[in-house]
Order: sequence, then C-alpha cells, then structure tokens
Amino acid sequence: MGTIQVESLNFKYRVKEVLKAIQLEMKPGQFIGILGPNGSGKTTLIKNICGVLIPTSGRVAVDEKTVENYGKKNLAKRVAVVHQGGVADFDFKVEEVVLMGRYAQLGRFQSEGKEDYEAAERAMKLTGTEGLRTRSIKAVSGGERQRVLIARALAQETDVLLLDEPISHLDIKHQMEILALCKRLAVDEGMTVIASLHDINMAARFCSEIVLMKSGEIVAVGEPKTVLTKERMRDVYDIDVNVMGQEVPIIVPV
Amino acid sequence: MSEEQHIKKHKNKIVILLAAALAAFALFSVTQGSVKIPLRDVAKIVFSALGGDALADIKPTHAFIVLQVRLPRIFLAAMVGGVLAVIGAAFQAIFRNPMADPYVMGVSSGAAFGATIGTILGWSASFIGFSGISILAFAGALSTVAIVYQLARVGTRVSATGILLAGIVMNALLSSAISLMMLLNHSKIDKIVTWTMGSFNASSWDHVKWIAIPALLGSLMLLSDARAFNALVMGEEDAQGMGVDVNKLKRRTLIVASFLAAFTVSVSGIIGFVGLVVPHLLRMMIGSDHRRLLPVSFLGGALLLLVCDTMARSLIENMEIPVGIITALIGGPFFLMLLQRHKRELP
Repeated sequence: MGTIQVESLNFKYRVKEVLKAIQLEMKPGQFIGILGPNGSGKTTLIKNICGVLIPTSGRVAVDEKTVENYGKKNLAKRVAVVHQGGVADFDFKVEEVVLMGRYAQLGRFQSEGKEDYEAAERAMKLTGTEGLRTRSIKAVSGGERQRVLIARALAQETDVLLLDEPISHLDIKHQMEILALCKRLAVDEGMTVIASLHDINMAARFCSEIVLMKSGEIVAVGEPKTVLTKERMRDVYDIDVNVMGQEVPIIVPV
Repeated sequence: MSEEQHIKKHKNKIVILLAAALAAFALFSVTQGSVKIPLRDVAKIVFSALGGDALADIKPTHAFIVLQVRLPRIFLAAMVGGVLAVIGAAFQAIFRNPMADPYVMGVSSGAAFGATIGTILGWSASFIGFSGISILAFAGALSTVAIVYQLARVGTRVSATGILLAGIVMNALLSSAISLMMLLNHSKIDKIVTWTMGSFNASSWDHVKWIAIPALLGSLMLLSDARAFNALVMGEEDAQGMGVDVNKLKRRTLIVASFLAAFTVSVSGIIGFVGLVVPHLLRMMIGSDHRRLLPVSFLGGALLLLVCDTMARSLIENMEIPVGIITALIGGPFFLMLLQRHKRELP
C-alpha cells in the first residue's frame, strides 16, 4: 500500500498553466526527490498529490482511488504532508504538536488513547525528538522544528509521506539528518516518501528516484545517475556543470 | 513524566481556582448594591425560594431584590462574559490571529444600527420580555454577519482576510449611518449612546432563559471542534493534511459564533475587551490547546464580566455605570501592559 499514480495531470492557476501532462508512478520503498528550478511546479505538484489543490484535468490516485474521492479524514490516514512555513503565533508543546497527527483517528469528543500515545512515541523516536517533548514549538530551532513536523506527519501512520522543501533553511548537518531519516523511512519502513528539494547533490546522495522538472513539465524520471547529466543540467538550470562521482553523481558547476 | 504531571496538575489548578473564584464572587455580588444584604439573609432567601420554609425575619423587598433583580443579573453577566470569551477564542483560532474578537464579523455595529432604528422609531413592541430594541439589535447583528459573510465568500471558501476587511468596511459604514441618525434625532442621543455602551440593567430570568440554551449548545458545538482548532492554528494546509475539513470548519465556526455573539448583544449591548483579552491571557497561562482553552475561557470571561458588572452597579451610589465602560477601562490598560511585555516577540 502507498502507490501513487499521477495520470495526465494538468493544473492551472486561473489561466496560467503550472503543471502540464504530468505522468508519474511512485511506489512503496522509494524515496523520490523532486528537483527543478524555482517556479518549475514542484510545490504545486505536491499540493495536487495531497489534495490541497484539485487538478484541472487528469487525476492523482492513491492506491488506485482518486484523491478527491477520499474523505478528508480517510485521506489523512493514507497520506501525510509537511508543507513549507506553518506554525503561527500559537504556543504548543512539541508533544502536543506530534499528537495532533492523530486527528484523523479520533472522534469528535474522543480523547487520545494508548494507541495514539504509542504512535506519537514511535514518531518522536524515529525523528529523535523525544528530548524536546516538553519544549515549546516556538522555542525550538529550525532543524528541530522540521523534525517535529515530520514526527507529527509520522504519527498519522500513513503509507505516504510528502515533504515540501524540508531542508531549505537548514544547516548541512540537519539536512543530512532529515534526508537520512527519509531514506530510512522508505527503505526500512516501506513508506513512499516524496520530497521537493533544491540541493541536487543531496538529492542524488539520498533519493532512490529523481523527478526532474522544468516549467511545469517532467523532463526526466529515474535513478539519480541516469537523470542527472551534464546536458540536462544545462537544459533545466541553464548552467554548465561537470558531473563527477561513480555510483552517486556529484554535480559541480563550472 | 513527573514534569508532565506537574504541568497537568498546575493546569487543573487554574480550572478549580477560576471556578471557585467565580462561585465566591457570585455570592459576594448578591450582597452588594444600593441595598446591602448580608450573606446569611441571602442564603435564607434562596433556601426558602427553593421550597424551604418562608422566613418571617426577612423583608419581602430584600427577597425580591435577591431573587428577581440580582440573581438573574449575576447569571446573565456571567453567561454573557463566558460566551464572549469562548467566541473570542474560537475566532482567534479560525483567523489564526490572537487579535480577533467576537465582533470581527460586524455583530456590534449591526446590533447598534438595529438598536438605533428601534430607539428612533420608539418601537415599544415586546416579545417574551424583550424590548423591540433588543429584537432589532439581534436582527441587525445577524443581517450584518450575513452580509459580511457573503462579501468575503468565494464559492464555498471564505478567506479570513476577506472577512476582516469586509467587517471593517461594514463597521465604518454602519457607524456613519448611526452618527447621522443621531444627529437627526437629537433627543434620542442619550438613549442610543447608553445602549451601545452595554449594560445588564433590568435583566430578568426571561433574558437568562433566552440566552442559556443557545449559550450552552453553541459553546458545546465550538468545544467539539477544539482538536480541529488546534490543527488549524498550525496552518490551513497543514490542518487539511491532518484530516481537517478546513472550509467546513471555518464556515461552521463563523455561523455558530456569530449567532452566539448576536444573542449576547441583544441582551446586554456591546461589551468590548472580554472576548479579546480573556482568551489571550489564558493562552499565555495554560497554552493553546483549545480543549482546555475554551472551557477555561468560559470561566475566565464569566468571572471578569461579573466583577465588572458588580462594579458597574455598586461603584457610584444611585447610579449605574454602563459595564462596557468598565471592561474597556480595566481591559484597555491591561491589554497595553501585555503588549508592552510581549513587544519584543512581535514580528
């Protein structure tokens, strides 16, 4: 469980075409990195997959069922997502934030039970955030905050995890930690993990698949070493690069 | 774990403390006013009214004052204060803005507009103990909310910014209309101004009955969405990702909370600051979990408004100060103090 099919998906913001004829299949155990320049449609694609945006035509299916046909709560039991930004002026403890991931599992007046606390505990353990549990979400660092939000998503116990630019504002150590965690979730837990990323070398190092996008279209899909070539980098990013490395390509701008 | 238990205990302490303070102050409040009635007499009066023996040593006027004047007024002030604070907390959640108050949808100016028309027309009709003015205020409040909602709606979606803007414009528009009507009807200015400042003068059990059921049902409905509010303040898209139907939640909350606000203004006029300050203050003390924040806000709002109303009717002998003035006089400086303390955290 956790297969995602994107079938001839088009998406328009009013008249502007943001996604064109997207065709994609993502499977459990894969860690898919979505790469492409700013404005290439990465975030819009993620929002279409998690149902925040509805495709103009075509469809996204999770385990064969179209996303809009899931109720909001049922979808939240299949797909968890961490968007960019978030967290306003309101103060919560880290543990409270992680427990919020159990929303879909609980009835209106029901309070969290043993199962819910266990799920939150597992999520905090996986993300290494147990030590932060009584800290305020407003008081933790950027890297810790990102891990807490991922823990909240993991507490949903879904098969699919979507992350929109999870490492953009983090230092290199935290970037490594979060991507290693994503890889572990895919490989060890059998989840389908999808993340939009800017750092090509990080993506190449951790992702099993790369989806390379340019102006709302997919240019290439596949293993990092087949997708990330000199020619494509010039085509997509308009820069000249040298590609080094053997198994894992290392892109060095000239 | 012990730290957690400690925090939980601390939070329960606030609930007990507030509830005890509310009960104690309500008792004290019955004894206060133009006629001081000792607590022992109050107890006897209430006991006899509940079916106990009639007591010869109590003046009948005292019994009347306690049972028909002060008790309904105390109930009403506490209930209105509690409801205003709950609405404030709910609005602050759906707008994701701790500065939202119960009147953001234009309830106050709509009600004032209705009341002004009622005063000018001298409409004397009444309905289960309500003046025509209360009824027109209720109608004015609800129609304004409906207009603001329509203005801010895009299909089935309502944008928070749209509501805030439409609310501000309607407020300005109606305030000007009220000013114009006052200028053209000089003799009624006094009455209109007094109404807009809010008061529990002449409260009766009819008023209590009118507001008790909506207050209870509405507050419970809002409380049943407490977990969804928690998710929502983390971000609308995040909340949807957690399984919250964000548009339905916002719509439902706007409707329920606005109805409740309209009920409160129709019995008491406009009372500012309670709905803004109470949830804000309590959030700083117990955190943002709405499952606790909403009930605690009810208690806090009830206590604050009861204190203010008791001051309103006993500070100056033989004169009633509109309670809206007192809440603003106490709430204003208090809020500024909060602002000073948290200035550094502002963006």
